[in-house]
Amino acid sequence: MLFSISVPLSASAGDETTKKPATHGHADKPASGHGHSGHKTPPSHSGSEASVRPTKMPDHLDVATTRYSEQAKFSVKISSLLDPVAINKIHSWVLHVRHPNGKPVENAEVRISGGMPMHGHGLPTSPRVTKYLGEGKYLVEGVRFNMAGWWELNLNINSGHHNDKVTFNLVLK
Amino acid sequence: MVRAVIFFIIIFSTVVVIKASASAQEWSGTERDVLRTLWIGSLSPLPNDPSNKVADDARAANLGRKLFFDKRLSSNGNVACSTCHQPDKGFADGLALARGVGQVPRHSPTIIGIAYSPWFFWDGRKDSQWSQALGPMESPVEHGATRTQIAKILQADTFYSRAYEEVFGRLPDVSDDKKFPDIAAPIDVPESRISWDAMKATDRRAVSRIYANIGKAIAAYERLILPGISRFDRYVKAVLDGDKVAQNKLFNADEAAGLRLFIGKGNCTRCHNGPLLTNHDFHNTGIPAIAGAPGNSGRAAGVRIVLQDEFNCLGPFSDATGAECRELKFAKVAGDDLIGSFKTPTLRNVANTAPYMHEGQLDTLNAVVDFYNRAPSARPGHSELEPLGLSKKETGYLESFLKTLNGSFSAPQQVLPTAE
Repeated sequence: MLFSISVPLSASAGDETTKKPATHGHADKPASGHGHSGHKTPPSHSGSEASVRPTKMPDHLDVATTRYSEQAKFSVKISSLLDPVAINKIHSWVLHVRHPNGKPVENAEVRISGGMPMHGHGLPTSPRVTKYLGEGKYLVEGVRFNMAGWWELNLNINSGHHNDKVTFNLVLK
Repeated sequence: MVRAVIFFIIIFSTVVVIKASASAQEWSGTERDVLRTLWIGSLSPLPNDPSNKVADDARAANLGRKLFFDKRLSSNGNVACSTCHQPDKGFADGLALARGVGQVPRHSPTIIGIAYSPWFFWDGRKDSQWSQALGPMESPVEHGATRTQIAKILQADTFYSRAYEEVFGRLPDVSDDKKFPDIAAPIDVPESRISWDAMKATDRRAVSRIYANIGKAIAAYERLILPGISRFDRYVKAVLDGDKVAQNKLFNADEAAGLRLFIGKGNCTRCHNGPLLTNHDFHNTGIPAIAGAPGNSGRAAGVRIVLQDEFNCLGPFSDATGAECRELKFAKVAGDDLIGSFKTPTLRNVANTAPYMHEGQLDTLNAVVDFYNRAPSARPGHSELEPLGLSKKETGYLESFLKTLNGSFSAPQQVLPTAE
């Protein structure tokens, strides 16, 4: 498993909501819709799900496990309870969702999707949040990956006040 | 002079061959990591089956072994589990399409190591090994039996009834033909269905309980049938040990080249990964359905069936708590990628289990490798494959490699298969 937390969560946010999200290694904000945060999204792959698949994993793929959502409404940290993440094992994750000012986002509605951008298939299971753990933390059960390579996890977060999404990249061995 | 030239040519070509085979046997650190994941030494201990509380009970396995080979558990007295899962044929049957009391529309997969899978049947319409065992017995084209008939056979047999009570407790009396007609089951056969519906609910429940327990005993036996060590495993061990001499003895250059394609350009380990060389998941490979196939929507249909199944992990006959049924609770129930997708089979013993694919569409390994190399588009659904662009030589290497995966099976001495 190649996880690295490359973006330390900024707790001193202040005017964070008006700034572009701090992406790792790249200044450009992730493309909306279906962006592979942190790399230059091929034009053919933004927007429609049915578009051409990327043929290779981007160089310098951003595998940060703490990210701002696309419109910087939330700061989200993901951590797997199966460490290291292994293929073919169903397991759980914890999402930690905060406002840019560091305060926890309570009782948000989170939807999870994902898949392998290069293969054009989705997640093999339907993971979902099964429990709010308090302090902005959410238990996600039912995650399973069935092959090595580049996966995306897409979270759609609705706090009641804001709706925003964030994509995490995982590279599984 | 001519002799000298010939001598030189021989020496020169020998050096070239040795060099070529030496480089074919070199594996980088990353490649060694991948090889380790495929090695039988990486196989985790047998997973628990919380839905079957007798899964690891030796008495249940002994009962299950006898049931597995018992041809009386069929409508014509000629079909047992072992009809399609024959120990000497890699626990398959060597046929393109299975034959029970009638023509079965699917190819029999091996059951070696299948206890590791969360899903059963090509379309994953069962979620435990015990529940799977119950499917064929009531299929009109496989055993053609009914659960009531099977419960009555069990009760009338002294060994069975005693063994059953030792494992599961009291065996309810199902001998009264009025209350328990010979042929009765909740299946799509009018005669069976009508008499089943006419039975009292408590009697139906008692019969289904016996039937579920029979499945649990068969599963206790089947889960002990695990893959044996193949030449491939010995080769990986030699690679991990850095033992070049052993490597060269175990694999020739073609086989090593085939393995390199298997973990690289061939994309085989996308699905055929882990020590069982399967991810136990569902994929659309675009393999065309045979003419007149009854349903080729694959997992898209299978997942709907398993969610409704009275014998699933969340059902009344399961021993699991709801929290233990994670695969079922979080199963993907919709999505284009389920359409026309079928379960990845293990590749262990693959050269011994021809023909191939869920309907036995391809006769030889050569045809299989050629199919994946071409990767035609799918109907229905979308194929996950892309053409590989392998040369004739390369497909030959892959085929040579696949033949190194034979390792038969291993099972504890006391449950070794016997057709008693």
